[in-house]
Amino acid sequence: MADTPQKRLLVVEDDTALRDLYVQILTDSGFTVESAVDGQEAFDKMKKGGYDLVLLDIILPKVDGLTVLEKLSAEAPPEKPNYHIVVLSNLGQDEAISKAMSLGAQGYLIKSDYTPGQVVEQVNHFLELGDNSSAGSTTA
Amino acid sequence: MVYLTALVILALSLGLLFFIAQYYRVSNLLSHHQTQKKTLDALWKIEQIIVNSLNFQEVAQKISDSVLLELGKFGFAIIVLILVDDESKSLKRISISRTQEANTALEISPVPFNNISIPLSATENNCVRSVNENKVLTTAHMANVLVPAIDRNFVEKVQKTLGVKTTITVPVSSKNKILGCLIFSVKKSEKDVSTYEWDIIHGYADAVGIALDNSLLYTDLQTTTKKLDEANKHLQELDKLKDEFVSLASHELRTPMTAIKSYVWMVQNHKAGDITDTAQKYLAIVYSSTERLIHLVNDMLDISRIESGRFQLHPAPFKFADLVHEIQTEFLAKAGERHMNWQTSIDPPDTTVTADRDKIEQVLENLVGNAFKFTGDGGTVTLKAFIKDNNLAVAISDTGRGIAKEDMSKLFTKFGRLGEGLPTLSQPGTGLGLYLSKQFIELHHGHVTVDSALGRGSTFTFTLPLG
Repeated sequence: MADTPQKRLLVVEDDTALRDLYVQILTDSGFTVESAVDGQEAFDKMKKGGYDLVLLDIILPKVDGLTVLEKLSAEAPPEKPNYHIVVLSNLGQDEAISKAMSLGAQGYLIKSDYTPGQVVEQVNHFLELGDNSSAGSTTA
Repeated sequence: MVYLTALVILALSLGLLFFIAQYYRVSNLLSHHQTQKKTLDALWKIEQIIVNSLNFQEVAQKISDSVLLELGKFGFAIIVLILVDDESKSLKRISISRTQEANTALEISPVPFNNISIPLSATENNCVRSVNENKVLTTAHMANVLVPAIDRNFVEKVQKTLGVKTTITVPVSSKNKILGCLIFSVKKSEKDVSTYEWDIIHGYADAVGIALDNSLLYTDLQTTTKKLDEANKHLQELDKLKDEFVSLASHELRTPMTAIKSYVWMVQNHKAGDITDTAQKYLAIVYSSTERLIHLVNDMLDISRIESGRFQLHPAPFKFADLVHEIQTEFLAKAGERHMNWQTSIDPPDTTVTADRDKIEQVLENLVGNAFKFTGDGGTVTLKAFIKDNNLAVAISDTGRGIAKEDMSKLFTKFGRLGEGLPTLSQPGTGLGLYLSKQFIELHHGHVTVDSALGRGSTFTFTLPLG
């Protein structure tokens, strides 16, 4: 683990308290963490790509999480692909869940069900699932 | 010889007379038969209207038209159908025959046909009298059916123009209720109206009653059906709105709860430095209270979805033993703390079931959690999974205080918590657990049963179909 480069994560969360929390615990766990506060910023960063995992909220200002995924699928794949996309949201509607999964998300977690420690566990779990180079790009 | 000739002529004449008489007799008979046949034909036409039309307006118009077809040739100039309007307590014109005389009358009438309204209190009007007294009435004055809606002098002038001599009003009824009346305006005097024509008039009035009754019933039915459809659509919209509201409310409630839960966890796990034992104790209470709220929101969201039919199970095959093992571990610590006997078993151990694992886990946590909650320290809780009648049966038993007979009906209802239990803030219980457990099992096409008595402990059993 010491020789492998740090995994690069993106936390997309509009609530400041939660965003700071997730960024902090993930950084403390040894990841390089960036963040986005709204859907537009999320889209721009994910388009540039290169993240090992993206934690994506759904209810966001400007552009919501699902629309971000839609727009990414519609565009050409990013130069540097995003390997895993995990939705982290408090919206529990079945429709939203299936839509996210069909747009390339690997998982859907309800925020209030997880402690910060459990969120880190889930991130590790998804990273261990192996590469998924088509994530966030051509899945339509 | 002359006498003989005279006799022969007389005989022949008599014979001829006889034959002529017979001929007329036969032809009268024939004509009578023909009349009967015509009456039957005419009545059959009305029956056809009853059978073929249910639209009220259609029926009313067809009735007026068809009657005229039959009676027009006998000098019947105008036929009008009038119905009682209960709301305004008056008689309203509904339809009029399409004849030349009728058109003339319509054109010169100062009041539009459909606006002619006779209050039921105008007892000098023949229509009103026919309806009120259930009697056929005849008058030489057409004005007697139009006053007070139209001025008498005016009508008398119109009557002369039209050549109408007699106006007959016949009540129309069905099932002993008088619905209105028919007005027949004839261009001949009363005594010249034949038996045949009277038969038609009466026959039609009867049939009109039935036809109207049917069509009014149908219209009623259509209106009711339409109203029911609209109410149903409205209910579905409300259901959808309720579901959306609950989803939105859940999201809004969960967000601050996530913050509370997460930051408390951070402090508890020393991310903000060391804290005293007392602080840990207090934070544990804050944490479990928040967990209780989160579970409540989750349960309400699930119930809302189930009730509006939008709940989706995600079944997949899994080894039941794995789930049992998880539950075993989950309650191990609690059992240890309270010196309780906690046993689980599954037979056969490789049983695979196709179900929504998360929901079944929730059911197990609820039932086992209840068993622990309602059993005193040192007691026993067991979980036995076995096959019965091609179902996986899971029985959770405890040696707790049991459930009173009168409380059994409350068990699976919403917020139907029993007695004071042993709840402390550290035991999240929403009052919805059993209700949801039952819903989840039944959505899997399984059943939940309970065997219990006060002081005897309880066994909750649920089944899941296999294969």
